[in-house]
Amino acid sequence: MSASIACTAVLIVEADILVRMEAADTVRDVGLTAHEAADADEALATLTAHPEIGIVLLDSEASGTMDGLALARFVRDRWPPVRLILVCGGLTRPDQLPADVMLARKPYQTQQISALLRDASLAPA
Amino acid sequence: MTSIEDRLQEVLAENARLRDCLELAEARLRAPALDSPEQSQAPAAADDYRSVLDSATDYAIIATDLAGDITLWSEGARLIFGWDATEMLGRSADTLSAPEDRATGQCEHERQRAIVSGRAAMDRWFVRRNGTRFWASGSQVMQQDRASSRTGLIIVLRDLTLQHFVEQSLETSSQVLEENEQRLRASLRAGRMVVWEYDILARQLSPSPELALLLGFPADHRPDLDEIRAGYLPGESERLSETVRAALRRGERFFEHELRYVRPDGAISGLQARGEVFLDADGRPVRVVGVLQDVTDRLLTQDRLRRNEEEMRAITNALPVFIARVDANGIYEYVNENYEVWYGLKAEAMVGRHMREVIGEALYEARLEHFAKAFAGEAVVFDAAQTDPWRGRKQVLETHYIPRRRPDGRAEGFFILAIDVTGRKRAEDDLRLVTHELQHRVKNTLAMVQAIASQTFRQASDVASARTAFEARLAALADVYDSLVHHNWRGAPIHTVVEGALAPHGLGSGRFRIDGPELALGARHTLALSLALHELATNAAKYGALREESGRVDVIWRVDGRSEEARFHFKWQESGGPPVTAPSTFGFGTRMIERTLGGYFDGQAVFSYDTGGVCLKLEAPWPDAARNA
Repeated sequence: MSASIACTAVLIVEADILVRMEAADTVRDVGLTAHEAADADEALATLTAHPEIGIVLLDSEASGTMDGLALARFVRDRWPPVRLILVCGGLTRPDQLPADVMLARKPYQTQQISALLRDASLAPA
Repeated sequence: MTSIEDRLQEVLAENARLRDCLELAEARLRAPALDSPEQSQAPAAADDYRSVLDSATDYAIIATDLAGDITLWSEGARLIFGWDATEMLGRSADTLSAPEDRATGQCEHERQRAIVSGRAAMDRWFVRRNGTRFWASGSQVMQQDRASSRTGLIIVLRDLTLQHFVEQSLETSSQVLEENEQRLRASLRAGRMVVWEYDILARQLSPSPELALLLGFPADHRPDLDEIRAGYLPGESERLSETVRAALRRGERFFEHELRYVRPDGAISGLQARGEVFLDADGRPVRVVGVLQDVTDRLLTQDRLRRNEEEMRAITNALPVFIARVDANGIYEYVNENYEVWYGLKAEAMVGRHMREVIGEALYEARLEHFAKAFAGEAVVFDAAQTDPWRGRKQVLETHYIPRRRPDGRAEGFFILAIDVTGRKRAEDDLRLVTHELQHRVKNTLAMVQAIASQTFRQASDVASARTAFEARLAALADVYDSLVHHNWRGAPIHTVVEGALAPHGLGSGRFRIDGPELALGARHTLALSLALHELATNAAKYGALREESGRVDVIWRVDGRSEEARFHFKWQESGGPPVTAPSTFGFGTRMIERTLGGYFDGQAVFSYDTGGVCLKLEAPWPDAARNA
């Protein structure tokens, strides 16, 4: 079980188009494929349609039928191998976070996001 | 008392008779001596006289010589003193007197007075044969013969012991009466009281003299009824009459009436009149006797207390607070108007009733723990979410139970104060929401600025041009924010947005044609459209229609269809500029416009490039403006 699969696709869940665009550019700059979703519902549809997505970069304040944290917990439960990068705008209580989640601060810091993306894409699934 | 007076009168009348009798006796004694030729008849006259003397058995009639030795002892003397004539003739009359009168020379003194002045009173104690004493009222008079020689003395005495005692006791009684009267007056003065009597038929008031001072007149003034009534408040006479009549209707003769009285100096006195009504044989009131007391201090205190209570009530009713007071058993003692309104009951329907009845079983049970604390003397504060029973509105009441304590420290019921803090709670919630929203927006704005910066520098060929472009975009963003703040972040009318965005790009030059219906844009639409117009105008100035003098831009929009089917069409059409071709790379401007505009409007934004000039078309659903706010 030493085989490591480098994942190539990232889903960005972010309501603001401008911020989402920038995140997508960052993802592409790292050499990964970017999928975009404006809310939780779009995110779930995209995840279902694209099983190759190995990383979800999501805004903790994402809206839709569930909020960012609920979406994170759902993804962790439904797609356990998917790496989660949670971007927190406000204060997030650690006890509400799902297991094995990476945290980034909002506003995005391109270097931090890039580093996290590289780590996540290279880590064994 | 009356019988004693009568008795006294009787005694005095007897005395008068006694003196008449004495004078008659004297006259008869003198008569033979004056009538010498009739001396032969003297023995007969003397016998006659003797029988007269002896028949007056109520009187002791005694004759003595000038030295006081007895020469005649009448039957009356025998009966009164108990000595026979044989025993007494020749003895000194002084032996009949009390030893102290003999010792002090009273007997001798009287005798000498009688000898000198012809008569002396003998009102003093005498001693009977058996040693007992009696009080006698009498006198001794000089007896003279025809030659005016002093021949002896006649003593007439009567036992008036009983009368003496009566007189003495009368004297004592009147002294006591006088003392009592003085004591009564002192009491009246001390108690600021007046005794009065009113004769109903004669309309005559007879007060004790203290009335003047009590009513504030000079002490020596005797105010008449009209003067007295001048100090009544309007209707006082009628109220007083009604008090008396009411007592009589109840079958009582005693009444009590309190009144406020305006003294001549204008000061207000408090008076209390208590009286007893006397009826005539037919049961009609004829006379009232009573006392009038100055109770100013008490009445003024009452007035002050009442005024304080009225003020307290006014204040508690003016406060937007529900206020009530319950006693140690949970019985309402006081409720203010708000409390009445809350439960829809008048105070009369609550005061005197138990809390359980007024607030209902369920609420009472729910509050039991708080009540128990308050009854035990502990202050309780809690927020109660209650539904206004009449308006059905949810309200939050900050409720205080404030225990009351008796002077000895024991708890004695409590005050209930409930303040409607619904507005405050809502404001607090709103503030929390606004703070959260503000934090959210600041973060989002920073993210947006960061995205703009990042995109700008990503596309720039050199730092200087990147910086210029970034500053211009930041300025455009700041303008939008100003506009949004101005409109309370609720978006703005579309004309305002369009004109605001194009103002820095020569809006007044006549090269823009702006045409479309007035529409309300939401905040996100305002933001996206403003930034897009800024990019379009900047690009047009650099590469497009606005680069040439002849160039023009049409900005046109419309809404087609209705309600859910409605669609928003927006077009930016350049003309008259240099020939254009589609750009080989998508710069930030173009990409941002297409993606953000389409994204924010949930529609499609598409550029087209024909030889006439750059054209941007946006088509988006337009169900209603509010959805996008």
